[in-house]
Amino acid sequence: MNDYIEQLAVQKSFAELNPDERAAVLREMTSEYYDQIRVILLAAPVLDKDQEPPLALRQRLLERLPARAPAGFRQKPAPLWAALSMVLVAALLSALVTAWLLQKGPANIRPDTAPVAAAFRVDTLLRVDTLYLPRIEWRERIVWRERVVYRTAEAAQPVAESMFPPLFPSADTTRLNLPEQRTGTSLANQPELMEFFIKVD
Amino acid sequence: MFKSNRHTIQSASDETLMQRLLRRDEQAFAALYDRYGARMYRYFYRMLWRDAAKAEDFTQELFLKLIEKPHLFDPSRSFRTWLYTLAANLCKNEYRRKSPADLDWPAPATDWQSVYLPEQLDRELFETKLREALDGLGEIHKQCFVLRYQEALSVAEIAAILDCPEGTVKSRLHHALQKVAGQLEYFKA
Repeated sequence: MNDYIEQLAVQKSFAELNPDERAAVLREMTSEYYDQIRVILLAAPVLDKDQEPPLALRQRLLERLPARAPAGFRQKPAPLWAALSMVLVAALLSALVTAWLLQKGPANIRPDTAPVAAAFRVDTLLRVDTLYLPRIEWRERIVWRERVVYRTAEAAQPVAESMFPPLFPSADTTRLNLPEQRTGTSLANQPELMEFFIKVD
Repeated sequence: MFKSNRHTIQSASDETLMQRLLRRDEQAFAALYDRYGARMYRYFYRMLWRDAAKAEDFTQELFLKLIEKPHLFDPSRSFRTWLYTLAANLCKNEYRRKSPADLDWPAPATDWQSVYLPEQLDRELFETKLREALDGLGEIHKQCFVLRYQEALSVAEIAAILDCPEGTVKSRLHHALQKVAGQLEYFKA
């Protein structure tokens, strides 16, 4: 809602608008909505208008005023004449004190208490300290790093064959001609020997 | 002479009174309070869910700030805008402190369909429902609505107070008005 319609809504109801104003309103909203916001805009300012702070609040605040020095309180700068007169008074006082001191003269010094020229002796003190300086030692060390290298199946085949013997014979493997396994003789074919075993004394 | 001084204070601008408050001028503070005390109290009352005790506390806190830190006021700015900025920040803190559950839209007490409305708007009922509708607004929309339609500040002033572009203020006002109107649909004239 633009400012123009807002102003219209506060002043006139939709029925009171002239044709141009009605057209402007209808470009933005319906006539019902216009009358509705008119009621709201008229009612809102007077809502709770009768609410007043308690009188004691004013008094409480005024009592706090002299008790609290404002944090950023600054004095008004002194006028020029005041500053100049302060400088003059300070200069006059300095001159008076100087004149009085000059007039007083040097103090009487008795010969037996006359100051003696101060003698300065320079001693050389030798001291041996033990200093521990941290020293950085560089040592060589060997670090073993292992890493897994991934290869393609074709590239890995010869490496794998060289490392492990084939578990299963391939087609082109030649058959080994091992000698025929010798078997023993049955006791049934040698009665003497059988008798030796079964003979009971 | 006293009368003349009083007259000077009454006709002095807010900014001049603030300059005098820097020198702890009690009359200047009293004049500022008389100009803005009730207004700020009502602002807090409207913003803080019509809690009179809270409105009083916040008004006191606001004016104590004037007493304690008058040097924070920039004389090149409008005093009114600065005062509302302080007040808006106090409200913002209060809204942050308030748990979201407390800010929920209150459940309707009655079924609106069954409410009999005479042709003449029932002013009291309307005002109650308008208050409820305003309470249902979020902090930023309520700030805009209260400052514009209840405190009668200009959009430019609200933008300065809330530190946002004027377009944002207008958009928030539009949204706030739409939401309030939606809540008061049954009061269509």
